[in-house]
Amino acid sequence: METTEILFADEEDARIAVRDALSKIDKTFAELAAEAATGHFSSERACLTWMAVSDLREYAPN
Amino acid sequence: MPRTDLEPLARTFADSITRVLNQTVTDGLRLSAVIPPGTKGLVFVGHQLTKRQIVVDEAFPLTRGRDRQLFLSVFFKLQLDTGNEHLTVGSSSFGIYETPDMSRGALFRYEYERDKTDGFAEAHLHVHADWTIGGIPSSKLHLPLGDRRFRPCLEDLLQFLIVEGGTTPRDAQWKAVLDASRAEFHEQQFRALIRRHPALARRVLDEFDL
Repeated sequence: METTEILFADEEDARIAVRDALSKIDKTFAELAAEAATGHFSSERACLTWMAVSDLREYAPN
Repeated sequence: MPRTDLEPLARTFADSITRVLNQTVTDGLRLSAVIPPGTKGLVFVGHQLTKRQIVVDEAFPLTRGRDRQLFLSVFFKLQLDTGNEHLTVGSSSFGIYETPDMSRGALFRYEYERDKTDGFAEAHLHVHADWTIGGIPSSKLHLPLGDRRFRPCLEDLLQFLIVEGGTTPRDAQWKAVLDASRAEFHEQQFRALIRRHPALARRVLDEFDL
């Protein structure tokens, strides 16, 4: 029997998740989006971060 | 679709991935699925994900291989399909590492990004090695892995690792487990292809006089 934990994030969770993910690569959402547009990220971590945050723009710090 | 309706879909998907891993090359692995707020129908599936950590730092151990232990990172971003009924993979990343610390870099990563707009292959492989093409390091190149519907799946990667000695299967049933799970993946891809190309499907069926 598999037991996947299902977690419902609220808006505050999403804001913290996006903020911390961007903070770890020291980039803003706009900077990361600019890298994504080229298809070449500055790091593996940046690429993985974009996968996670690209649809969560509204929760990124201004 | 309300977020609560995503739960069974997310659970079914993540449980199937967990089952394949724990029946072949991991021991007691537990994945989590994070459903972000809003109405976009997104689900993140991976190891050690939490409501406030959606990018992981650590890969999980595989059973020891012929000469060393390798570590695997698995991440899926799921999204509702155009019919708003099923979850489909929006992007995925399967990375193989020499240590659990992902900051030290992968050996290679299988990735998939649906509707990629930069011209690179949706399904691609990044090889972290010391060579370049066009001045671009191999780790940033997108080595193509076939069309969206014909891309390799996690089961292919696990079989590669087993047969090449990168990990040791838990028991003799590993091939049957992978074959069954891979058949489900392929059936989903075939169904999507038929939905996309119904006239072609009819022509092929006509050839069989059905």
